[in-house]
Amino acid sequence: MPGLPFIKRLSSPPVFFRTAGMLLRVLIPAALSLGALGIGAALLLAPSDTQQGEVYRVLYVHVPAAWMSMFLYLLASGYAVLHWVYRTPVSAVMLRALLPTGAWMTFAALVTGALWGKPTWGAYWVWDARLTSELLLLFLYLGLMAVASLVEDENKTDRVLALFTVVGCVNIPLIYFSVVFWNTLHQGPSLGAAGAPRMAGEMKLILLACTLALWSACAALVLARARWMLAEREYDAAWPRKEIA
Amino acid sequence: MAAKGNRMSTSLTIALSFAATLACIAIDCTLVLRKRRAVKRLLQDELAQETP
Repeated sequence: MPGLPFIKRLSSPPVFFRTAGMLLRVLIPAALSLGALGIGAALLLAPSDTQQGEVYRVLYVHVPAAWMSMFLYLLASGYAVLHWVYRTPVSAVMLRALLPTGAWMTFAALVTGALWGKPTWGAYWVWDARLTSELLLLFLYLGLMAVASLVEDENKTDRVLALFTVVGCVNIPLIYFSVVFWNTLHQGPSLGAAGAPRMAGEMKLILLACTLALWSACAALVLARARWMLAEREYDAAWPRKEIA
Repeated sequence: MAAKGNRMSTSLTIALSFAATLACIAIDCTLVLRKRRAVKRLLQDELAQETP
């Protein structure tokens, strides 16, 4: 595979530190510009929904946050598997760095969902399969963060963390397909699935801008956190001092 | 009157949702910056000790 040597090189801490630093220079302006564009368009340009009226605009932050909460967990599971196979410091640090951002995105999805639920369903919270499995995801993130901070032996903690992360991955398809498997109050998938409610083209475009903005912001946060966690972990080595000198 | 109240409550719901999401990103950003500052200080102290 032609791309493999570069991926292999990325597992070297100094190379990862420098590459992540370069990526941040692209991701931060992208997140800010797309965020401004997406929020502006969602509040000022997007048309009203025929059924929900204006309150549907919450969807422009709720849906990307919910997607990110699941995507970041899947990514963390990917790094957990990588860590079990290769045991590199980069995979361990990426796994740890993904957890807080994932937890914040899950929290944002739950709060925005509750705010949308009150005028739409008449209740901030219902014990619906989608909502309950998303709440379970928040607890999973918090539990994994607690595991990451409690045990003293870092290498052993990394392995335990990787194992728990992979086991918790079973919740992701449960969240995604909960609206298909069960008769839930939560509406079905907005995009992609057959028979899903159709969305106007301009609404889809604005949702795409908001999703890309949140994706860039989360990628920037995770990479920035991973860089400094890696530098802290390897502070005995010469490279972190060279990088900040 | 009731329609005006509904409109205000809808605007408040939308504003709160956007604000909550931005606040989550801002808090996470603050945590990352704190980490960066702490690690940089640690490394700079190490560097200062090494320099004769």
